[in-house]
Amino acid sequence: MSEILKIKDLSYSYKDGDHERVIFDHTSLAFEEGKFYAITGESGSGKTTFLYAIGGLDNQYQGEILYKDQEIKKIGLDEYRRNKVSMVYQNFNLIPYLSALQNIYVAVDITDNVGRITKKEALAILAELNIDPVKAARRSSSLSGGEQQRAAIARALAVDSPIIIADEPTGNLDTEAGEQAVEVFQKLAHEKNKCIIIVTHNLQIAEKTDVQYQINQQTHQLECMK
Amino acid sequence: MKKKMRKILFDSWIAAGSRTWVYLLVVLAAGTLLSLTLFFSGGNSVENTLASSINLSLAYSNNSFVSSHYDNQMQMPKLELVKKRPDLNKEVYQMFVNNLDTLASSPEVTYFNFNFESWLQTDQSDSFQVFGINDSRFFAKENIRIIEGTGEIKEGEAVVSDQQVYNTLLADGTLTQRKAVLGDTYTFVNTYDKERGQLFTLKVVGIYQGASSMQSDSEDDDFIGSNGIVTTNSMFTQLLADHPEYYGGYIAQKLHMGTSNLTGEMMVITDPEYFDADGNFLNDKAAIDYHDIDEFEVTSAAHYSPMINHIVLETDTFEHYASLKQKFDKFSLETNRNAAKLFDEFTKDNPKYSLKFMLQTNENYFGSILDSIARIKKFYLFIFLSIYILLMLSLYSFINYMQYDRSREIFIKYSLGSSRKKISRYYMKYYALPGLAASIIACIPGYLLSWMLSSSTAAASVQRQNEFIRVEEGTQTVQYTGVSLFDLSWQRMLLAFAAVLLIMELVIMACAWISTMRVLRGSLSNHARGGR
Repeated sequence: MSEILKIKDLSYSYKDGDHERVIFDHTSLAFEEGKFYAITGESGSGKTTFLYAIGGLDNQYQGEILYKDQEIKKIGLDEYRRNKVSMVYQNFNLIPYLSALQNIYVAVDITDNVGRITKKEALAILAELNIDPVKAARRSSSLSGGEQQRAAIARALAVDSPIIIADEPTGNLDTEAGEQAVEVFQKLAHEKNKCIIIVTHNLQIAEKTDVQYQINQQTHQLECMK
Repeated sequence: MKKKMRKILFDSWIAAGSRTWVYLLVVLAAGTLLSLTLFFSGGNSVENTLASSINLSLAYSNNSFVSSHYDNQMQMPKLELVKKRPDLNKEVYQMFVNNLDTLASSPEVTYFNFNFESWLQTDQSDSFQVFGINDSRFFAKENIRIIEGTGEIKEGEAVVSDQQVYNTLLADGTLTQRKAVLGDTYTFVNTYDKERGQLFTLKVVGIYQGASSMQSDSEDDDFIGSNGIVTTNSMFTQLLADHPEYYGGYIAQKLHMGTSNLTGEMMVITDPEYFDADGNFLNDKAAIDYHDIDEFEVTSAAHYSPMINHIVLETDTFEHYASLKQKFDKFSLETNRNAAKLFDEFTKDNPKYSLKFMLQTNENYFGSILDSIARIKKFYLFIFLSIYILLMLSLYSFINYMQYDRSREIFIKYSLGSSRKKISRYYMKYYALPGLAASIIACIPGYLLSWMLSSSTAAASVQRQNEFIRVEEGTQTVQYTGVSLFDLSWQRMLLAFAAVLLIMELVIMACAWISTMRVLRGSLSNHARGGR
């Protein structure tokens, strides 16, 4: 499996009051296609910060983040977010007044794949994630937490980006729905060759991933646990 | 996909529910205020209305030949004597008329009228009036057409004949009104000097029709007058022309207390010795050769009875008014200068005498109305703009509020790869489209309100001014027919309309852009670094 995302000498710190708070200090690691990764750590350890950095949402870091050996800043963060990476959030981040289907349209409209998804294709993706057409047409705010999360994953699938990053994707789900979501991620990694990176503090979920990294707050490094 | 996105845009307006309505109402209110401001000020609407309602007129004074002033007791005239130079008056008038024609052909002029007719007031208890002229030499040929009877009054015939009959030309309008025909005679009684029982008779020897630019005063029933029979200036001129031995002359006046009427005597001075070094008449009747014109009842106006009583020039817009006013002033200046030149030649040899001919644009009343309106307009505009600015600040706050409410949506779009620019553009469109509709609708009440306000402002200003004139001078001199139309040309209306839409859209888009950027910055700051 080829490396799709490489982190080289990543350092991240910010001013917290009078003192400088270091999150990462020259940490390096790589993510491969077709694998399911977990980033774990205590609250405030910098999990989300890491996710935002590799998701192209925060560029205040030192070091390099390489997508297929190309610095993402050089690709352009907008372009990178648009076509290379998809984000799934703990609170699902669906546009609440739009249906699951429309949320997919919005996402596709933003990517360079404009016009390349039909209603049938979008419904098929949703169906794959157990969202039937009736629910797909409902306002996303009226769906259950699990359904919303699956709709958010469907949105990520629809834009067909090779990397899917999820921030505490099971945080707002009950156990069953959480497990379903994890299964979906496993399938995406193993069957669709996606690189799935989730941030979680749930070790049981982390156990189900292929590779687990933990943020060591003493060394400010990401250490491979599994 | 575009269709789907349009549907999504529409859904987002619907989803915003009451907020969309509040937004539309604020835009509507702001658009109304802005359109009111632009319509109200854009076309000089009030000024235009007034400029088309109020005439430009010319104040005229002439004491070149006949002039008299009352002393403090208003009893005896103080005389100004001028040396005989009969043709000066005529020359000046002719020059005046010719230049006036040029002025009247200016493109700014929508209506032009001037009246040659001199008139004479008689006792107001008399209910008869005849307007006419007694000397066709004072008419430019293009302004008068003899349609019946004598085409010309021979020299001398204007003056009373042996039979005490005054020949005259009558305006055709007068004939219609009075059912007069050629050859009719009218006898007037000198009601003041009843002891002498003086009668004078008018015989209609010709009927004229004025050119389109010439107006007959025949429908003016407020004054009872006889015209062309005894016309002081022309008659005096005539007298001097006929009697080269006369040195000069004047019309003596006596105030008839209790009425506004005056009596007048035309006298001819035969000997310059009867004037002191300052030109004051020494009041020795023996020195005066009373001419056979007799007494007649006149008002002070008769002493200044010029051959041109009034000039009316009308324009349709304030710009035209202002432009014409400049031309009018220039015209007055040039005519005065030319007249002065003529008179100077005369007074060079006769330094004792002062000849005056003065044309002055009469703008006292409507000038002050326009000033007053300009002040009121500025006040209104200040209020409108203040409210507009407040509304736009409210609009900005409301858009900010709506955008903060959409911060998650904005963040989602950003995280999906939409650039800041693209996100801003989307929300600019989101607010601009319904804003455009609301702005278009807002122009309707804006236009109507400015129409009403313009009308009421103009009407109120003129009314106030007339009240002022009434109090100050006892007579209402400003004529105002009322504002019937909001006077804004379609070009200006379109311009104001386009300006409303453009300004509203630009402001809305700027608000949307700033708000979106702020929200996105805040949103990223909140999400990044572990949600700090």
